[in-house]
Amino acid sequence: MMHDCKIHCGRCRHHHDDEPETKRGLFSRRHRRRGGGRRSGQVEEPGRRVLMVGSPNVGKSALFNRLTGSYVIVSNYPGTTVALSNGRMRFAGQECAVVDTPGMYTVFPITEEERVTRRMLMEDPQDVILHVVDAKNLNRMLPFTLQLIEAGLPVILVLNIMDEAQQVGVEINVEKLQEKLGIPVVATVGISGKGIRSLKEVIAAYSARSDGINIDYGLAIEMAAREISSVMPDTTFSHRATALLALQEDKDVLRLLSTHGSDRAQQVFSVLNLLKKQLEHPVGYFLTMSRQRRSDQILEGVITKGEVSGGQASARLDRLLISPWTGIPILLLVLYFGFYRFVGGFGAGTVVDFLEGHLFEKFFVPFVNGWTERLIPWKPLQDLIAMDYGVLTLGVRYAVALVMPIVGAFFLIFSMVEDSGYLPRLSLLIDRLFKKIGLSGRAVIPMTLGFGCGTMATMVTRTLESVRERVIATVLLALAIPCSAQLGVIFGLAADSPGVIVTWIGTVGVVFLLIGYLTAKILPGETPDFFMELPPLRMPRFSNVWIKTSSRMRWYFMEILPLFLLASVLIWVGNITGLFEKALWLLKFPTNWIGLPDEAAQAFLYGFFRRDYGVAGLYDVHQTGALSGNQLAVATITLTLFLPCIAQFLVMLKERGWKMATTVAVFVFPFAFVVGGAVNWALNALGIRL
Amino acid sequence: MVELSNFAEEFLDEILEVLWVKLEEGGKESVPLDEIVVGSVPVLQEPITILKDKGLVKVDGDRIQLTDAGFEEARRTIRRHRLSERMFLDIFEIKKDEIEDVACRFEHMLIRPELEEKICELLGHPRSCPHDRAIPIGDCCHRAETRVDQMVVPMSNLRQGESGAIAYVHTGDSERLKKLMALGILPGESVTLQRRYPSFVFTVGQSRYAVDEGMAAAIYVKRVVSEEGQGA
Ligand SMILES: [Zn+2]
Ligand SMILES: [Zn+2]
Repeated sequence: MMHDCKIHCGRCRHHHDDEPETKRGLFSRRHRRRGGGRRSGQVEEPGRRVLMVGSPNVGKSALFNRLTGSYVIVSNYPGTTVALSNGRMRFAGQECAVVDTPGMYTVFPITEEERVTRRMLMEDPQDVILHVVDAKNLNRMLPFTLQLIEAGLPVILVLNIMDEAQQVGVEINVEKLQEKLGIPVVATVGISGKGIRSLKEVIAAYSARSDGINIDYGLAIEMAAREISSVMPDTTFSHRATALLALQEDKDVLRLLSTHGSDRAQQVFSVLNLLKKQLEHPVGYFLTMSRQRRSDQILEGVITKGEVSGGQASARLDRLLISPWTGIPILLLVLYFGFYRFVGGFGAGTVVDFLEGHLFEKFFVPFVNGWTERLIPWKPLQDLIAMDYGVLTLGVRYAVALVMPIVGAFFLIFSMVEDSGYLPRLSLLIDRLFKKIGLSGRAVIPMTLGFGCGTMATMVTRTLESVRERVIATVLLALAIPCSAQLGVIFGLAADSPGVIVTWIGTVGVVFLLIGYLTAKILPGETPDFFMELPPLRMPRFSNVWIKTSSRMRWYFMEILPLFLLASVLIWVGNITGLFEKALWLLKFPTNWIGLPDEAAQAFLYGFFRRDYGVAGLYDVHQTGALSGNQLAVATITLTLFLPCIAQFLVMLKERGWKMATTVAVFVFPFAFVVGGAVNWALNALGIRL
Repeated sequence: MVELSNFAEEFLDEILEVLWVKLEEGGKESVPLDEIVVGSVPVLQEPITILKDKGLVKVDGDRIQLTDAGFEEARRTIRRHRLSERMFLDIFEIKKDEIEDVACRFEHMLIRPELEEKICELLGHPRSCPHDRAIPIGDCCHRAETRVDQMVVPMSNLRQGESGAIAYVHTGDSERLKKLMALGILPGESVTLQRRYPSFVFTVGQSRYAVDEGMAAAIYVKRVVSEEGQGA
């Protein structure tokens, strides 16, 4: 088995690590039961297992929703499907467990996420593999179908987004294609639900595996594949397919081989070396070209292309978005209206005022405090539940009244932006700038998502190509990207003093670029390539946006609320043991040193536990009128640069390892104060009063 | 003057090349004689004497340097060698570590200047060999600076709105090749470059892609040349 796989496949919490080879059969069964039982809450064996695969932007998740009626993050952008989505499909008395996977282009994985999908394909036996393709790009996607058939997997080809294909004049003869491929082919429109019924029928009725397709890769490769296929390890793939992967020096296959004794690996390597000497290109080149040729042959007489028409307005908008002259002003408008006005103004202002100011302050808190006092005689226990730092009055109040509206508003906007196909355009616009800090335009997704929730964003850095890029992105997320809860409160705090906002944005922006630049200098490795498919601009659909927003919020609550409560308990422990008092006393020195009053130290201390606690604490200090404009700027800057919250820290630990996580933590703490102090000094030296 | 066999001519060219590379690397006027190694044996005294007689090198004690005539001769030899390398990599897609060998044999066929220029033109007047060493500029390159009529060029050289067919993907970096192949950017497909800045945006079939300059330079496109361009 794979020994380095620390990634669990999504919600089922299934770890691949360190399972001995002999346990495979047993292991798969256990996984199956757990994976199925988690959603419905009862342990039952679902009838069949269906796995969905396909490239990004082919409407896979929308199709998944249609099949299962479950909630899932629907994404038209590579990488934002954070985890695999599990759902159940019922049809004609049958029940199927359906799993949707992050996008991938071929059986040969490039990013970490694709690797996860490939492992599922290779290690977990499935009853049906749905290969979902964009019908108008069938000729580009059919080679992947051929790979799946070649591997001996039970494939159904789903021609999705048929409506767009018809719009651009692509006609496909489905029956003829089915005949030529020897597997079922179904045409669908996932978003409207067209063709879903027949797809369900085909899934339910599918039993036979196809006879497979053999593509001729030329004598040299064929001989090499035949030579090593007898020593290939058993997977769900055919030995021929595994052998072809080995010839491409696929890491997983080679590692799998090495666990079977060195002589097998030795044999493969000697064949591989001989083959490489005979070929002028990497093996993968020949395989890809042969598959493409075969796929062109198959599509001859099956697909007809008409005149491309329409989309004038969308083409014009597209041009505006990707030109720097118009694209950057549009970006600023999106940021201003979407994030500042909607998230900051509406979410953090109106909704928070209502929930916090009315529901919680006037009703919930007095109610909880009253009942706790009446029912529980012991003061420390009262403090745990209620009063100033109680689990209910602090933890739940912050989570529900402060954080939820802000994060919710952010996720709503982000989902709309994401669905429209804007993010890939933003990526290409910003690639040149990001290159300077060692990232590629691709990193726009985790970075933007970081403005919503750094924890989620740190997880999404997995979609970046190199370890180096992932590390840089993680550092920047921990340091210089404020999450939406912080943003909301900061905008709220400084709403009346634009000078504070400008100083804050300027300083954090400079820190972002500077630290990115330095990290990129220090870390060895090359600047990543930027390459990305641009999906057509699409009008966001209300249903999709709603499903995405709600499932992200649900994720937020499931993952984050417990941590809020934990943080409340820790604060309670800190208070009754007197640890906080000591820590506060210590923290007063750097706090005073950067020109802030004693009270701000408390905000910093709580900032350890939750970044937004810190800002919210600051909010309280500000309410008393204790902070001048300059002090407010210094405080918000220091808090933004401050340690990430516990949740983000834990994800960092999980994704990047403890060394990296602690290094960041140790660096960030003094750094935040030094920058805060420098800003304070500079403002005073220049005689600026904000 | 001594009559030389073909083999001896080639051998002398090799010595000049080695000397050129040594000077290029060291950035000095002269190099020690014992550093001049062709194949695996140090060069014997005799060929050096011939070169000296031809007025191509000067020997000062145990150091050797190029004369002006020798410099020009070496420059042309190097140019032919590196152009050959480029051709084997870009057109014939020979593996990079085997290029050196074939190029050494082929460069001697490029002695005819027309042939050398034809190849340079076909390759789009490249400025560096696959090992990232500079290819000395020829007359054709000077002429081409005012005319844009290269046939096979990196996509990063296309003008906005220009179309062509993908000729090949630069095979120097197999990771890059893998990524482009995964996206379906393959030889034979027709491409149109839509934008050059801030990133390269192009269509292949019904799909659109955005890539950075490095990736765009790895995709070689056979230009659709207009009628008047064809004649040149
Ligand atoms: Zn070279
Ligand atoms: Zn030239």
